Amino acid sequence: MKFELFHELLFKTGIVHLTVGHVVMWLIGFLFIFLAIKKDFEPLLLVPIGFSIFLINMPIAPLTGPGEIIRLFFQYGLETEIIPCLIFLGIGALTDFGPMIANPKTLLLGASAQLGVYVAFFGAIAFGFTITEAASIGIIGGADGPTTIYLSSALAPHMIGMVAVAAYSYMSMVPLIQPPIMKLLTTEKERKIRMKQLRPVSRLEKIIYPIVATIVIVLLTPAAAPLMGLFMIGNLFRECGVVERLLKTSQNELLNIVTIILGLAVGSTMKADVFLKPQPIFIFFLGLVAFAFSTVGGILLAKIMNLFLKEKINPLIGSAGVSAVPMAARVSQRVGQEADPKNHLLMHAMGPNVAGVIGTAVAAGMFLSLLKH
Amino acid sequence: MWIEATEVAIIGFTVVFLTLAILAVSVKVMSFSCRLYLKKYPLQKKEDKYEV
Repeated sequence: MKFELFHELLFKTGIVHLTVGHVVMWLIGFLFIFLAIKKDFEPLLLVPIGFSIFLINMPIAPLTGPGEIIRLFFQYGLETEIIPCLIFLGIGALTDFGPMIANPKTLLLGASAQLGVYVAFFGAIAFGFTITEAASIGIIGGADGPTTIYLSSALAPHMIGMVAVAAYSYMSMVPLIQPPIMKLLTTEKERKIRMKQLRPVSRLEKIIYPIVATIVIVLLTPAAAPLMGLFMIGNLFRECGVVERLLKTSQNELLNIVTIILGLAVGSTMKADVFLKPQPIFIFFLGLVAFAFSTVGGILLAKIMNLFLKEKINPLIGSAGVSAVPMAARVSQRVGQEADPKNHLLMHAMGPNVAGVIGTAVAAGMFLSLLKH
Repeated sequence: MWIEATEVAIIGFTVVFLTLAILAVSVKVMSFSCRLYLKKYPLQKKEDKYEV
């Protein structure tokens, strides 16, 4: 009798259900936490994602079943697409569109840096993914986590975890991925191009901008409205100067709360039986291709624009057209200063950088319009 | 599937470019209008109110 009870008790522990796959996933979770703490790679996301991977790979733990805590985060946060939109509200409240308003040409760099999205889209189809899965993989090239999650939850919900992790991993590796490509595609002389200081932008322009942008973007791409609408309302909170409390909440408490839920929900999709297959390896490879081509697209358009412009632009700011705000802009600044220590490209690169956020959301909106039936 | 994918990519990339190009032109027009407006009706500084 006692032995049976002990046997039953033993069977209710996770130890007897533990598999090699679980342990491998723990190690992947620990790697994420290590990269966040030791290397400072996107710690706000990689710490909760990493711990969530570790946690949900505890055998028979009541976490991801129907009505269980992490499942509820996923169900109500990601499946309903609420969290990516709320994150956009917070990002909007943190974004200064001034450099872009001062130099609207840089919007085109944000568009050309979506090249990688479509290259990876074709690559994914060549690897045998379906067209909706390919769109979810391609959007990694936009280097925008919330948009990637938003699109995947609509087109390929089973792949959210893999594409989100790939997107955030590559976003955190922008300083490693972009510089070699930037140096390969530009000459020393081009990297030394100094750009004229940006004009000051009035408060009136900054207040009107979110309204103008919403009209243009939502009329042309209605499917991007949830992301762009909240992005722009967050920005209006910032610029109007009369809703200090809403602004602070959007920038801090709200953004932090949804980031925690996002991290836990994304990590929860990485269960051993789903993740330990060849598919994620292809996704990571295609994500890298997408990132590289997006960088190439931005730089090449900047070089083409220089053929026609009187005042040349430094092609290095083209690479900031991948979203990854503000890391991609910082990389442009750093590579520019390696060629000329007195050259300050940061503010110039912020234009294409925020344009990239808009470009990726529009690209996602187009995928939704064309592929969501 | 390749034909559909090509269509999606061409339409998608074109719309992304067009949207951002139209936005760039709109921003130019907006900035120009704002500067004209501010030239005609310069915003009163807050402290002016208290100088009376």
